[in-house]
Amino acid sequence: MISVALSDLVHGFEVALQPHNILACFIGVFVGNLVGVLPGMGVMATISILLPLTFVLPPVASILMLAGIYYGAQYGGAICSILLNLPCHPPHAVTCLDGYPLTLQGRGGAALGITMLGAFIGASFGILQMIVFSPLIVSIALRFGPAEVCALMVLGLLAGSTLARGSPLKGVAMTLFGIVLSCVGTDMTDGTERFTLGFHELGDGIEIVALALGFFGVAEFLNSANRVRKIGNGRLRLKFSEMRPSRDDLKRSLPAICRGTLIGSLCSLIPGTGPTIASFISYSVEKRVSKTPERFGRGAIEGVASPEASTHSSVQGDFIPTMSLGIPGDSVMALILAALLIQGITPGPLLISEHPDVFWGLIASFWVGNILLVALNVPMIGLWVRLLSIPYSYLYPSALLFVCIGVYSASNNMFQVEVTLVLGLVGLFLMWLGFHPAPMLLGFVLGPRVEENFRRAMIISNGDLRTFIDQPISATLVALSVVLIAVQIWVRLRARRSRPIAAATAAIRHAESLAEN
Amino acid sequence: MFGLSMKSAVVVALALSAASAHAEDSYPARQIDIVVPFAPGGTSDLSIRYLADKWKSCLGQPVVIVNKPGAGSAVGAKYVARAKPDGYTLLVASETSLVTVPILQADVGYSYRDFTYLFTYSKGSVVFAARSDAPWKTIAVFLDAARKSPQPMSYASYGTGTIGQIAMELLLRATKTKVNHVPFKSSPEAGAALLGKHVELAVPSLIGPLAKNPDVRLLATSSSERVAFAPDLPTLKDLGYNVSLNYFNVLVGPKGLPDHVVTKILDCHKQAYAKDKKDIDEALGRFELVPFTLDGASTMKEMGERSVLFKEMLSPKS
Repeated sequence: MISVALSDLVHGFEVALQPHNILACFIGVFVGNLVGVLPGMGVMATISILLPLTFVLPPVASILMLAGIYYGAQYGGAICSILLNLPCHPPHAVTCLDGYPLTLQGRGGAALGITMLGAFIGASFGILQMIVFSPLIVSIALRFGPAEVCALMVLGLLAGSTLARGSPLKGVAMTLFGIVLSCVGTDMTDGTERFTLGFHELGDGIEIVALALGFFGVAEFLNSANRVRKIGNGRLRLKFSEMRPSRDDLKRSLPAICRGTLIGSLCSLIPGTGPTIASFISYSVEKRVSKTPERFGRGAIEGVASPEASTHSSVQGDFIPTMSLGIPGDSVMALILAALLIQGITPGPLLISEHPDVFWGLIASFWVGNILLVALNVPMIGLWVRLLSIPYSYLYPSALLFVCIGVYSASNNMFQVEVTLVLGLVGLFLMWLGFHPAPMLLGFVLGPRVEENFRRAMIISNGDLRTFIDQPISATLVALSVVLIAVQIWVRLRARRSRPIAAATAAIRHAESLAEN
Repeated sequence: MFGLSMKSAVVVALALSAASAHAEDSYPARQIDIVVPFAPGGTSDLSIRYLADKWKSCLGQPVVIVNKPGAGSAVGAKYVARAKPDGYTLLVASETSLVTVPILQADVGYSYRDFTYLFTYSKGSVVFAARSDAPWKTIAVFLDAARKSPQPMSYASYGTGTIGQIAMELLLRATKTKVNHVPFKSSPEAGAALLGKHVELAVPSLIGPLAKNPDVRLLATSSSERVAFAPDLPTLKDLGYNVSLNYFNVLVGPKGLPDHVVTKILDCHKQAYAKDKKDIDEALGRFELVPFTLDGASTMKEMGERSVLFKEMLSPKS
């Protein structure tokens, strides 16, 4: 079976390496990369602008191009997060936590280098997974019904709520705040509007782009507006060695990249999860397995490596349910699915046998595209880092302008820009009080999924809560959540008990050393 | 004095008529915006993009498709309802924007009466799908099993207030059956819930990928007559149920749109149709729509009837 897959893959490369297909792939990843770097310019908006173009392109070229935009944007997305603390795309919000402190220490270049490495490894694994396990994975993914997805999301919320630096109580509070914000919008079962304050524009809820850019971008801007300074070490000339990750960075990052990749590929398989959840979960896993969790949030390179690898493997894996089942994982995938349908190609179980050139050509082009992206980005790292030597008073206002353009383009609506600015003010207030916005974003993304799947599960089971423990998958997930809470409580209790002991030991040692002298 | 004013009145009248004739002749004098109240990629978006391209040469001005998604299409619909009725801002609408949204969002600020109806250009339908390994191979067996089941069964739709939900509820009402409604956010998600054995039946709007999936059996279409893109699929009427439901894709403008605007665009549509009938029908079929033309007045009357019916179907049951 593997040999058949290999010969098919060779055929795929023959398709992907045709000059016009390479060109389509290059245009896709280049545009994607650019869109990724510009704050707020969404993949969704870009693909929808380019969608009519695919009416006239051949099917393979058009799908390679649109797919290239999708994964190309992820490469660019990390750059703003690390250098400017601006998560242009929600999956990279978590990268800010450690990426930006690294930049402040003058090690932004190294962080970007590790990001590229993690991205390539993550993406490659995602592609391999698509080749080898596609059919098997899909049958597992389908077993995730409302009850299972709900249990998984609860676990994700519990695992992720304490990920930011500082007080865990504040982390939980921000997660809950995110869930509250996610309640704004139209009720899924009866269509009533909730908490929209009379604004119909809020009927679909708050735009995630507006939320992320408001809380990170605008709030950060307002916070430092009167303190004009340069980010990074301010030197114009950077030595190449400063941009290259050190041996120690690599040693710390490689295992993190592997863990992130695995988490990302698992997340991609379940319809409706997507890269944002993958990157948040892998960050919290990384913090938990680390021997030095206190470094996280202060510039731990693993905190950049793992979520980035996770995002990329999840992004590539997202194509599996779309291509082999016709079930898109998110709205961007739904657009790519529409592009295929326009061409008269129906994604689904028969896609591989009916249109081998599309399926295998796409897979081969993933590698071509990822290699192109690494080739595009690695030489650019120096340039990106040098971007920081632009005086703050020019850099941030122009970034803010792009934020506004991006938010506007998401729905052609000025209202969302106003929402972003208001949320920025709220974010600034919370920042002064020492709340970090990352857990809030997680609550915002997962909250509605918990709610809608809980309600679906309740409708299906006629209101019987046992539905969560009747099936093995959801029962396991619920059990894991319980264990997680129990462990948290135990750790706190032990810490409280051992604190006096530790203090006493230290006092004795101190007395001994005094006695010796 | 009198003569002079008479004369000037004549001049003014002539000038006015010339101006209005001029306006009629010169429409469209600039680009026409057609608002799609959804994100790009849906059937109304794809079909209007295709048709607008065909009208371009006849209109002599560019037609730009503007996506204004939000609030289940209320944002885009309200934008057009409040636009100037000059023919340069139009809306692609269906029951969702015209009927369902004003029912579900009581304070939305517009109703189906606040538009000028140009014409209906196509209609679509939903499909009733089950798993191939399920014991019900027909709608009749399914309904029978649902009535006998000790626990109520469930069906997945692609959202609250969608044609999928209403078609299913009409069928259930006609056959006095109770099945729980589980709303998902899109047709593919509803399909996935069916394949994963989480619901017993799904009512998606697109046959698309499901038609080629060996694990899925399509039982019927809600369409009033058989559809060209799936000719073997029986309608509910074929199966002996007096239920059928299609949704209409309608071009509308703000209330009070001048007649010459309506005539001009309708003429261009007719012209394009006369020239490329085969291509247009085929393209609409690819988006799973049935080519269907209905004049504005009849469409508006239809929407009025649906408004009454949908209100009844969507009101909370006692």
